[in-house]
Amino acid sequence: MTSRDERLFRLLLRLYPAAFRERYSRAMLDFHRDRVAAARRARESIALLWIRIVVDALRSAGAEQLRTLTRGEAVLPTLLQDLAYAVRVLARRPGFSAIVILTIALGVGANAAIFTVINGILLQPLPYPHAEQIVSFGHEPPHWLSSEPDFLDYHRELKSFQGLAAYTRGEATISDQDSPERLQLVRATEDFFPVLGVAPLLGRIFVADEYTSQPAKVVILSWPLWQRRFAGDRSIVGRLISIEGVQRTVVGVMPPRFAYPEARTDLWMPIPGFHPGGYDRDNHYLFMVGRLKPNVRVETAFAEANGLAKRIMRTYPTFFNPREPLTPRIRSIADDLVGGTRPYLFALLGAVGFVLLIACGNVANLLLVRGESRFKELAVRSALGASRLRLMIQLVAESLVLASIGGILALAVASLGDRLLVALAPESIPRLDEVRVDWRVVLFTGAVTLATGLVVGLVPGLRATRENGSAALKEAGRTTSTQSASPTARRVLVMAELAIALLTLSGTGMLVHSLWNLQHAQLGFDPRNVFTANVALSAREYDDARAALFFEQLLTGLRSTPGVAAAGASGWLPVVNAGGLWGVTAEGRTFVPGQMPSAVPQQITPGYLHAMGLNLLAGRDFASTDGAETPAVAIVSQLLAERLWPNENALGKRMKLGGSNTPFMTVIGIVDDIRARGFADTPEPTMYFPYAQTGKTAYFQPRAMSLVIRTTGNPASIAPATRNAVRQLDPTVPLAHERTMEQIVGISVADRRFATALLAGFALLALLLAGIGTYGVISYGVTQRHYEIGVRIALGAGDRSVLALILSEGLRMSLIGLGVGLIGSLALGRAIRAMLVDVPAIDLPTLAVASAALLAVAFLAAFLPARRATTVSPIAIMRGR
Amino acid sequence: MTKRPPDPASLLPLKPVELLILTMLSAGDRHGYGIRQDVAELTGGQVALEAGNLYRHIRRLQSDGLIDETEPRALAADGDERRIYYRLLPFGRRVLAAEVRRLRALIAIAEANHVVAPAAP
Repeated sequence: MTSRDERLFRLLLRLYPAAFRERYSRAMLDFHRDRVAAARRARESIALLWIRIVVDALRSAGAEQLRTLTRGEAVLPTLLQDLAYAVRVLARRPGFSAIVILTIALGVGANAAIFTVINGILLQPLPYPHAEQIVSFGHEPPHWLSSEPDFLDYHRELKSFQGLAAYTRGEATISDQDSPERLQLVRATEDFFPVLGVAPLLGRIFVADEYTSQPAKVVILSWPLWQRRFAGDRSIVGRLISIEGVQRTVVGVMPPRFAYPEARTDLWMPIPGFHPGGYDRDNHYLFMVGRLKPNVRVETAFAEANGLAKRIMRTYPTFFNPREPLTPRIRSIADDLVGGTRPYLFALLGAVGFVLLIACGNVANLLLVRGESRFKELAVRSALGASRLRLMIQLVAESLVLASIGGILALAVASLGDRLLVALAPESIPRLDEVRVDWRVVLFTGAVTLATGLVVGLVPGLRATRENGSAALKEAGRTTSTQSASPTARRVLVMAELAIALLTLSGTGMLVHSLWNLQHAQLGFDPRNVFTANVALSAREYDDARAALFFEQLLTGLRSTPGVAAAGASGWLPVVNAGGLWGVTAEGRTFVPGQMPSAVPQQITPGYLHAMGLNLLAGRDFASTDGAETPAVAIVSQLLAERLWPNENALGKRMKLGGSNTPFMTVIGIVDDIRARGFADTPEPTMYFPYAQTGKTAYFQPRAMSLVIRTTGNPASIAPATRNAVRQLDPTVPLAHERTMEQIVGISVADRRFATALLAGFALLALLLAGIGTYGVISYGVTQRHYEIGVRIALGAGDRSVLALILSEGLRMSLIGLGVGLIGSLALGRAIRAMLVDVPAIDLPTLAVASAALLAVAFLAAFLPARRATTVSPIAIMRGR
Repeated sequence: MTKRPPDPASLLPLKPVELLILTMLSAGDRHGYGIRQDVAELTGGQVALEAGNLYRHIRRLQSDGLIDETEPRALAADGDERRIYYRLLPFGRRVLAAEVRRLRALIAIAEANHVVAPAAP
């Protein structure tokens, strides 16, 4: 037996209650020596021996400690007795109990509601088996997507992947029944469904030879589309439906939660396998999704893919600019889906956590005050032999009963709150349909409730049972025992509440400031009073000339409609579907391969610039005379003009699309740059082509266009007239996505605005609760100091000095709370730095506003009881005395 | 010091470890480790008591007045260490007897119901 062994065992003995240790430590040491010696002789594993000894010591010491604490009373029956007693005590004070229960229900309920959202969005597993292996695979900007040859190389070479699929996203018109409809269509390669690993609900996925026929003859429906358009008819499989004017067979229906790549996807169709010699490496248009082999990490896959990408760049230098390398971007689809939402969710959880802390502070204060009125009862029980622990348990049992009732109500609050939240939330927040109360939420609520009950019960419990029982008993006979026993505890609680409230206010303030910065960025166009809708013509029925005529007639008709100030159409709308990048070159200039300038292409009709509120800086807008047979023209944005013709006047210069046989276009106008992807975007060079010429000058003439109509009044009210105009020209043409431009630009900040609004709500709640807490403490203080105040007034103190007396107390508390809160705010600013936009981590204006708001509320909370104090009648006090 | 309930039945049934300890002590005084060895031997190593567990039960038996410490005595074999031995008090012997009778009655029922064959006389 070494002395080290013995020292270790002596340490373990310290776990036992003192009485037990005194009595048995010597005998147990003897036992231990024998035990170790015998184990050595028997060549037992010493490690195993010690594990047994430690486990035994922990269990036995724990049991002994518990026994000592409860003085040998059986724990469970006592607890039940305490709970029953607690219920009786609380039922006798229904008003008090109701206030406490409601406060807890709101505090815990807010937490449960936010946790439910987190649970649905972040914690619920995605509906794909082993979803952690599934990754989205793209490239860093400016490439973003993948080209066909790149995809084929990745698909062939990468060893980290079990499967890799490419897909495109687009729209298609379904026209099998009476009303045509625009649908979200995904075309995918053969690996797509195996990578996601989900079997269809009905029918089958595509088979190999269906990937070779062009156009695709088969289609798989999403569950929502199947429900919406085919009323869940199970005989749909095998039926022909008309998509883009082609009859295609429905071979399957996917299950309800299958929603890749996005929730709105309606249809999947096969994309034919790509052949070398197809589109070139500078045409990046494919999305990719892959499944990693088991135990392969995203980092490993990235390293392998990055190596291959660098090799591709070296092998095909003409396609790549060394300053814009091809860098893979591989992320798990869970990150992809919800990564952007995560910081807001945690900010919200933090805010509701603060609200709960403040609510706990208020409840603890109420219980403290009530505890004082129960000193006598506790003192009597203590005198009759109840241990301090026993009394503590009694008080905690009461707060647990209160918290439990509050917790049950909190689940109802959470359920209601979530319904409201989901209804109000912008569509762009992912996985909202997963938000519901489930066992995790119940567990979380239970844990928070328990913690709340313990916290609010322990503070007054410790205070109340620390008091000298006999002192309370002696005082009990006298009527003047107004001396409060726990003013410090209550003040500290309120100061902490004020500090936390300031923290919540300043954090939220910085995010509000960020949102303000974002929304006041110049968009480059004017989204007010603009109505938009999408119109898609069938490519089979409309050739270029007919399509151009259709839009000219439609827009001419619309312009003569009352309430329309301007009307135009464009290939894409800002924010929702801002376009790609095309290479472009100026006449007489040569560029090193791979370093040709590129710009965002936009196909527009005459009138678009005015309708969108785009500022024409020089030259003219397109006119209806800029047709297919007239000289090719273009309008460029200021950035593009500077890029192609630095320090020159771009008007009259000629440009053409890079590496193509398209004709040169003469620049006839220069417009402002726009933030095409919304407030958070940086402007990109943009080029505009007249719609009627696009077939000749810009590769193709789109059949799906967005109408942009500037109105004199409410933009939404022009919708029926627009629908009518389209129907009169061609009743088979669907009108989709009717929205105002303000709704559209709102999308780019919708998540942030929604989260910030919620945070602001919680911050105000925190401020309100802290204010109520302050009011409660000062008001109670005034009640207790009635006598003193009465004497002061009797001795000639005026209203002002009484007011000053009470207000200064409030001011002291709020200044300390403010100071602590400010220090915390500095740390908080650093923590949320990543969420801020043009706001420093120490944001003085926000801190100033938050401090002012807090002081104002604290002043009000002190002023009300202070004014009451001035009305104290010294005569009444004396008489009462 | 230790209160002695007049009726041994009020302490029944005993916990398995307590029954084992009392039974071992009925053979004579033992120190803690000796009890462990006896129990291990009897149960074929099935029950291996560790210090905490053993002394918790000893504490219980002692405060219920079933066993007590003997005067410390020298143990020749281990040199001059003075061990603490435990002995069965008369009240403990009565409790043990009551428990064994209770078990015997149970065994009789089990035998009558052919759960086990009756022990050979």
